[in-house]
Amino acid sequence: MIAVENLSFSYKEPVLSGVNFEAKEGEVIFILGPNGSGKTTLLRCIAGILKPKGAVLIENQTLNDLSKKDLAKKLAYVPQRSDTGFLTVFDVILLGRKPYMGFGPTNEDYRIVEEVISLLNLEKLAFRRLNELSGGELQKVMIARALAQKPRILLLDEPTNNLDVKNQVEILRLIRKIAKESNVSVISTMHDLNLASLYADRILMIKNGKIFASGGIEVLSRENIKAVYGVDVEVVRMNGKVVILPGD
Amino acid sequence: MMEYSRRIRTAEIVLVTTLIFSFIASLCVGSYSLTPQEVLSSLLNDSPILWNIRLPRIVTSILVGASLAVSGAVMQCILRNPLASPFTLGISQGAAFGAAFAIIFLGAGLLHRTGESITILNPYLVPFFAFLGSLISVSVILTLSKIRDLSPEAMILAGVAMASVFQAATMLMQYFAEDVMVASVVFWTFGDMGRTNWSEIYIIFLAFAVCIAYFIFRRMDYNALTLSDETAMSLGVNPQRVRLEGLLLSSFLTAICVSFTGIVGFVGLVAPHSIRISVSGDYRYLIPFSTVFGATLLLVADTFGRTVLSPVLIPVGIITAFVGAPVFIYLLLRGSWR
Repeated sequence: MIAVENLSFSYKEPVLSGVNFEAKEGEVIFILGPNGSGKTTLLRCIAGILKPKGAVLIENQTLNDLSKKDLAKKLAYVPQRSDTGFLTVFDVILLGRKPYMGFGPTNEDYRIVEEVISLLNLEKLAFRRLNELSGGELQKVMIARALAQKPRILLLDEPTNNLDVKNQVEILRLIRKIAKESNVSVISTMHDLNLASLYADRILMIKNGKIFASGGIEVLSRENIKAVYGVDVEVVRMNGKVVILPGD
Repeated sequence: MMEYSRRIRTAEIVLVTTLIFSFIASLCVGSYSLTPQEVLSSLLNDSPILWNIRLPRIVTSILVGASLAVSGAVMQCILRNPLASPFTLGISQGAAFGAAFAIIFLGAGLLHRTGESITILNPYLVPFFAFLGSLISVSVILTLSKIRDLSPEAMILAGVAMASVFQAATMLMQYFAEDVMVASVVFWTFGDMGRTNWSEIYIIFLAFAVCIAYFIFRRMDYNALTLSDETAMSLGVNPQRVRLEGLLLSSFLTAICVSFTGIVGFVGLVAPHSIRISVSGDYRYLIPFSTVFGATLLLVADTFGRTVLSPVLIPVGIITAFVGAPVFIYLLLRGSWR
């Protein structure tokens, strides 16, 4: 579905070097790593916003083969922050149809927007303005906008940032549901190790712009976490799940 | 859904009706009042009062109001700043500088008094230099942003810098100029819709038509830009390109208006924000609605200015600022501005 091959990127100093991984259809991958380790940069490279060295292959086409519009039909990206403003929720979700539009939206575009709105239960918010929404609502709207793109790959930058527990769980369940039901590959950065362990199919741990470890939740070991974050933790296994507790 | 589309529909009807009504009313009133029937028959009979004086003035107000409003709406989006208006990039100060230069050094503005009204002789030199002046500041900012990839915030600051350079240069010229010339420079800066003839109106109309067609074509890109550049890029929009083209066209349109009519403040702020707060922030509606509202606003202000103290004409720029500011503050307090 999507393959990242030997990807490197530098601003003035190297941020990412030699990153390799693949995501299959319907797979949920969480990228973990400390602040400044290159997580967001990696997402931006995959999204075609930055121009990295190496290759990103989407359904066997490189990013260079795809026009910006065609890329936007296959891949959607939800950045960590968006500005709010006077657009309504409906208008914002309709923007997800932008890559498909000629002069303006068609009835098909409106139909898909309504479909996404009911999928995410956003009916009550549909004609509210963005600047009247709470953090959790805003995040859902941004994900809805990405879904309206009908992407094969969904990139999310810290989707649970600044949300309360209820909203965090709701968003992560939603992401998994989308991945499984629509066969979308989800690649998301995360800070919360416990939540990542609960909702991931696979975890990539990044340290200094390189993949340090990759695999199932077993990669969230004491040693790996110490090596990547420099923090001593205790990893407790409970009913096939792991709980990570910072030690003293 | 219902409520929202009803709001859009109502706004559409109210705005268009108000514009038509203001148009008819302003044709009727003036130092020589006419009934609508008389207006119609005078129009058909080539009456010089209407065709040469009242109508050009009204059409100019409509076009300039529409142009300033739509330029403001677009600039607020591409510069990511609610305070952005056609004058943010130093366009008006550049124009004033150009006009002052033409009047003081080229003698373009020999004052010609007839009773209470003052006119500037040699009508083409001043607008031409005003246009050049405003283009200088725009092109400096556009060039900087092209070669150094300036952020929208940096563009605004560069605009503020250009504005103060031009202001200082204008003041310097005025300081050493004769009283009469200073008077005519000051007089030029008051926006006045009565300076244009039909061929100038065609020029403004042409610029307006090209720009609004482009802005409407880009309306969804502007919506995408209100979220963030990154989001816009992920939707296949090229933010740099949309920003540069939008700035170029809106500045050009403003520069043309300003050079023919002088400086009219506030329309570019009041019109788009009023629509944003009371109707919609969606550029599919914001562009046409602000255009119509801006046209109405300037037309009403100009008609008020030429009738309230008749036969003395109050320059429309003074009225827009006086009436616009309180209305604007009211809207800010009422609206969901966060």
